[in-house]
Amino acid sequence: MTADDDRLLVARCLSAEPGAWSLFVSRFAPTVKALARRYLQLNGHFPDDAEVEDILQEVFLSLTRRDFRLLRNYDPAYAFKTYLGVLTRTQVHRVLRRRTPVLGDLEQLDARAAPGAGPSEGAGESEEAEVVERALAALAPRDAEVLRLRYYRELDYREIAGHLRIPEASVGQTLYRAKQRLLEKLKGLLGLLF
Amino acid sequence: MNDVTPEILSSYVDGEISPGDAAAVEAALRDDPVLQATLEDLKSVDALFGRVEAEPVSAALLARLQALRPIPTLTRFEPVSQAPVRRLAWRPWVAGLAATLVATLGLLQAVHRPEVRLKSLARATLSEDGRQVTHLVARENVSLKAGDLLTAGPRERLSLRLADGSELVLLAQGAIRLGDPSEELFSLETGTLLCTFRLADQAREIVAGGVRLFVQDAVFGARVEGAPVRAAGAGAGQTSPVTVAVTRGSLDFTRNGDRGSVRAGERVCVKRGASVERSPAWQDGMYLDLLRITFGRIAREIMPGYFDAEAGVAAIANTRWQNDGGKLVLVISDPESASAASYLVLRVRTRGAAAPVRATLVLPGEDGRAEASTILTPVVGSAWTVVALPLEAFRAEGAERSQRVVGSNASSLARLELAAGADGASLDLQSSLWAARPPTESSEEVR
Repeated sequence: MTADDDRLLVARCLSAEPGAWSLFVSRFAPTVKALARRYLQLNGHFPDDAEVEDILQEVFLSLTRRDFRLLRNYDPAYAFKTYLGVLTRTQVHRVLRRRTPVLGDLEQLDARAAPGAGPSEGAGESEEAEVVERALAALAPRDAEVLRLRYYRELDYREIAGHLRIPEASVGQTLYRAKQRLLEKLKGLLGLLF
Repeated sequence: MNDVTPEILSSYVDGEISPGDAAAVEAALRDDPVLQATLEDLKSVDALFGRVEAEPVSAALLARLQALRPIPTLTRFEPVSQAPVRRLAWRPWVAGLAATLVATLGLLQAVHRPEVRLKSLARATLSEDGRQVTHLVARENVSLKAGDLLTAGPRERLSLRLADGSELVLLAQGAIRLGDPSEELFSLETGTLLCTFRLADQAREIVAGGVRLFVQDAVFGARVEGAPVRAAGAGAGQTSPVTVAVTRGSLDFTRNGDRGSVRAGERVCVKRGASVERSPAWQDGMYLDLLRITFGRIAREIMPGYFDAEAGVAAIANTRWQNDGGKLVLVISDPESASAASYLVLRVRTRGAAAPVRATLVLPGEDGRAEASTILTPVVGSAWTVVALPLEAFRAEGAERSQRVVGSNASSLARLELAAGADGASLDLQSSLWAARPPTESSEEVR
């Protein structure tokens, strides 16, 4: 399945093509489940299956809300799986935030509980995207570019070599360094991986 | 390959090395924890961009997710006070809570008499066009015993009826394990506890998730009848602040000796030991919404906007379910109920397959049938879906005819027919139906 197939499938869901949603679910649910588990683990939680599946279910529910608003918001410039990663992180964040005891300023809590601030409709997904985007922006342009080519455009080494005009044999090293620097930036930005 | 460098490992993760080299990497990984850690880091980067090795998902869950349908843009639920209420001439068929509706579930009859019984409340939301219905999942009324594990999702309210007749309301997102009522009522296995409670009038101690609670006279979303509302108990000095919202009318309160007043839409934080009293203008149908109760080290949000189960909602009398050629049919035969109702709220779930359910409301008339359909989509096969059918939408075409039908002595004033849309699916229905009444004129004075 290529990234273009994914984009096409999203478009088919949005045009309410029969069977498209079923296919969408069977294609992406396993990915979201794995993402949920990994994001929880990255935050030091080792979830059981039920917990992971709760998040999976929430992600798909959130996709259906407001007439597929989140799907409509998807920017095809990114690989769809990247976007799913963002949505899954958002849900994981919500779950983790709920677990963290909050004591103190009740007014602040009030503001959060204000009508209209439902758990499903927040702008959280864009915040999440920003974390990775911010880290990318803080990298050397070359590093950011190779990562974008690899992850957003899903190019292989040969294609990346063509874009960057470098020998194919050196793509691996370039990419590895870029990944390492991205990780460092993210750790620096948040103290956590995401 | 003699030496597996991090760069090679990265290419391995990217699927850019030969099968032979991949085998060598895998062999090296087996005994090298440093390499394994590097691999995990690299996989984390991939995961940040949504790339992971997929995990199998059970067929049942896949089927439930596949049964989801896009939920139309919704009108948010707002407290009743914020709904437009300026309706001077209320007419049975055309008035309605145009923007808001809350579904409520009645107490259900349990098959066995349980020691602890669970009921749940959920909300339904209507879309702006008043036709579409949506759901929030409610759990089944079930018998429970110590050791049982319950799961609860957002906006679900679990209410435990205790052996002494008092009631404990829990809001949680996660899993709750019930304990023996004589010892620990429940413990939180995972997730978040949003806890609130309404107990008999004595102070009581509850141990929840390792946190000790002392409560007395706590009120949750309860209709206030008479006595001043004590929003926070005095039990052992450990009850923490609560926030009270007034959803209709206004409320006087005392807080640390100061008197104040809170109006509809506002909230007030009531500290320990403070009391909240009804203002002289208090009227029937006003209610308090306890937004949050904070105790010990747990402070959690409770979704605002809970609706008083009794206010504005009336059971429809004289209804019965019939099995009519494979369809479940609700026959409404009480003119008063039928004319007072602006919404039907019901709970549906499917078994066997998560399938959409077609609901058709039929209004028989002298000159044929007026009917309209809507598709209900139960979300999760094992859970109840709460749906609200706005009768207005059904009636839009023939208000006049409906009036005539209601005015007649027809034995069947309206029929609601439900049919599951997929083979292998059966339908469970709660036969208790509710209708939300439009605001009466008296409620208009409550601004």
